[in-house]
Amino acid sequence: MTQDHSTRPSVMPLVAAVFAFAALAVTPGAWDGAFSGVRYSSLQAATLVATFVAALALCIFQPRRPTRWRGAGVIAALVVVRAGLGIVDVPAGWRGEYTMVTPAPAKVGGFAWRLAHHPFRIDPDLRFEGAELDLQFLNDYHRYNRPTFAPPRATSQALTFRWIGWFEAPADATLEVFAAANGTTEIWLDQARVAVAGPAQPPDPPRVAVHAGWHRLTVMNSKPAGTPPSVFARFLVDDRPIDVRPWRRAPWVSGRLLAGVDHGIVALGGAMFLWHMVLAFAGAAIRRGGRTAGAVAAMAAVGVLAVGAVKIAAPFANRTYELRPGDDHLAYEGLARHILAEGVLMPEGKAPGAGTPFYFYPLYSYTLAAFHLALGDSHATIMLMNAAAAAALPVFFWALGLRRLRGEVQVFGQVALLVFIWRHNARYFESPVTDSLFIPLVFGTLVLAARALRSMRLSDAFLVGCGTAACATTRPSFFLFMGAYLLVVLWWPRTTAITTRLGSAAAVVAGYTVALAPVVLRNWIMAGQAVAVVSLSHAIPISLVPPEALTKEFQQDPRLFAWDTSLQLARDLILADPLGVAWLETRKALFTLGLTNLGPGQPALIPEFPLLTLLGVAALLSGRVPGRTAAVLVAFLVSHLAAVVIAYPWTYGYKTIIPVHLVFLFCALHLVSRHREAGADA
Amino acid sequence: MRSMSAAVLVAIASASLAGCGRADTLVVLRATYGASCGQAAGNVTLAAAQACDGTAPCTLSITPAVLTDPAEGCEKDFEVVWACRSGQAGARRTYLPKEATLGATAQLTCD
Repeated sequence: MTQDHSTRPSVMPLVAAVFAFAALAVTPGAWDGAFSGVRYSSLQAATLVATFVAALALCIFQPRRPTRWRGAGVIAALVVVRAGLGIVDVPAGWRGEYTMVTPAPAKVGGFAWRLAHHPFRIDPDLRFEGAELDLQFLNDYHRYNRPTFAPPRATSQALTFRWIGWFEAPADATLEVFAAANGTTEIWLDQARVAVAGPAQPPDPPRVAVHAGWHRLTVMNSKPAGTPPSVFARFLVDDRPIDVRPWRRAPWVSGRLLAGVDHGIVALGGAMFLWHMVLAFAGAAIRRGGRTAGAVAAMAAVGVLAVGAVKIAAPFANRTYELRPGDDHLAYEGLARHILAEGVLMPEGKAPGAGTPFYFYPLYSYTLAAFHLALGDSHATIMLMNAAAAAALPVFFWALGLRRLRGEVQVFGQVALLVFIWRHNARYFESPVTDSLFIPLVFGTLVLAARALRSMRLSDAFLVGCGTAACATTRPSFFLFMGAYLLVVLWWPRTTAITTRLGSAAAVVAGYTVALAPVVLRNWIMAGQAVAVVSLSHAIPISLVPPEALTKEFQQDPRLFAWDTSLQLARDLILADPLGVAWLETRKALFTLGLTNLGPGQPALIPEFPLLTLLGVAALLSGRVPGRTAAVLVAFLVSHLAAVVIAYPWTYGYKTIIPVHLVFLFCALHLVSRHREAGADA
Repeated sequence: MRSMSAAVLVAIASASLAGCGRADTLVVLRATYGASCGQAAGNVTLAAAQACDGTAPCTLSITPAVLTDPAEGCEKDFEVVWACRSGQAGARRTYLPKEATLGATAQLTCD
């Protein structure tokens, strides 16, 4: 009756690794981290990387010996201890509360700290000058109808600040106050005002006697509009700088103890995997993993990205930023904060019919608003959402067809995807820009589209329409995919009855219409225009001007905002310099295909992009990518290329071309391993 | 498993001991550049704190990268007051008289 465990696949080490490191990343740790305690040393980071590499190797070469649970159990216990200590510990720092005085009684939102909302922020030190205060509610340009190119708002707004810090005097002592601030500043010790600080520090700092025990310090600063914030406050008790706490409690545990537990988790995890590697290779009792390896590699890639998302976001938890003026990032964050505070983007302070259609793509702001609602106002929320969206890509790669390649190729593909994301997507994680959401949405929709083309079920086709609308309201370049995909549905599955193909196409259109309706209806009600975003008329003439010659005056030319005058302008531009326009269009296409050095400002060529283009096209032409999947991918590539030629591929770096090269990367993997269904599908 | 548990304990102990004997660090309390030229006390406190907080020793250079010139054409003095985290010796003061020209340095230590 005894079951032979020796032939079971041994994926337990990987599961334990993902668990341990995800837990390390997301559980509260030392006091100064909202999500996490440790900032990894080089040795720790190397251990983490080596562990994941070992785990992936174990998926391919699995030891026949059964894996024991005890090691994972000890890790889990340490993680629980760590999380518990991290939660009950008391941070050092001031409890800062911030209020905007004008133009309205402001709801300033909350701050995310330790996975919860708080109406205050923990500031380790009272040393701020100018924009260093970095308050997130200053990004509410939309709510207060301010232009996005307004000067720094910390200066232009009237603000009040209050910081509270508790300290424990070990004996009767003398408190010395070193403080200076712009505006009016009062410093209170318990119930008594002990100093009034001005812009200059007094030569002799105020001194006041304190009794042994806990005392509350309060620093209150009011800064008028037009004055940059500047606050400095330090306190000595019997000649020693004090560390304040936001509550009347001493820290419960030493940060060193927490770090020790962290090190223990890392050490134990590393030891477990090294031990299993030795078992696997020294004993030569290994078995080859196939599909399991690919699925686990996808899971591991998601785990790596999820852990990475939290790790890059963690330092920004409890930290907020006044985003720099101008550009899209402030608009998307401002709109998200507007949704958070005022609800859907309907009235915007205007009567129906007197508004404007969406200029910025609405889905990103709605999604970001949901994340802000769940995780708070910290800048970490933006980074977490962007990186978490990228964490869906390994699953979409797997579902799109990677799962049908050989196990080793799947693992290689996931590693290549991680490297690609690290090199190209990650640089945009810190900014609220739509592409971080657009790229995974595109791949989700491509997965749906390939599945719908195989099944020809109406429900699948309906979902493709919904996905297309979601992508298009995140970046309108995807609008053209709709037409390209309908052509594929009507033409490609030639073995399917024409009525089935027509039904499928109708279902795609129905899904698209239903999903797009809320946006179009909003624009129709508010602006009298039944469009999803601002009219394409705006983009066509602009796209005929080289980016180096484009001026803000031209972009605001009233002729751009009506179809007849806009097309007239476009015709004039083409006739004035037909060769110049032809080169510009060619340049846009070449840039999109990977010649990034053709972008404005002479950026560097990124060599892997043209290489991926060549490999991807070769894979498509060779027929190694299954026919229906290939048809969907070609529909996307052609539609995206057409879209960026009609508009512009270069906005804020090269993020617009990333999905194209991810598709080429996916195709290129088929050159290494033929798809099992390639022959039948093609 | 025993060896693993031992490894964990060693790691925890070594990490806990790693912080022992950490060097003292300083915090800047006030820094004034050009009081001799009528500048307000503490006019460069934030800049000096930015440069030296959490370190020791700290060499504070009077250069445009650290301190902007508040009164061109006037011979300026420089004063910085700081304290060490350990509380050793209380608030300390370094004063450079009027010849505190660009390029001069102030040494802040916690010895």
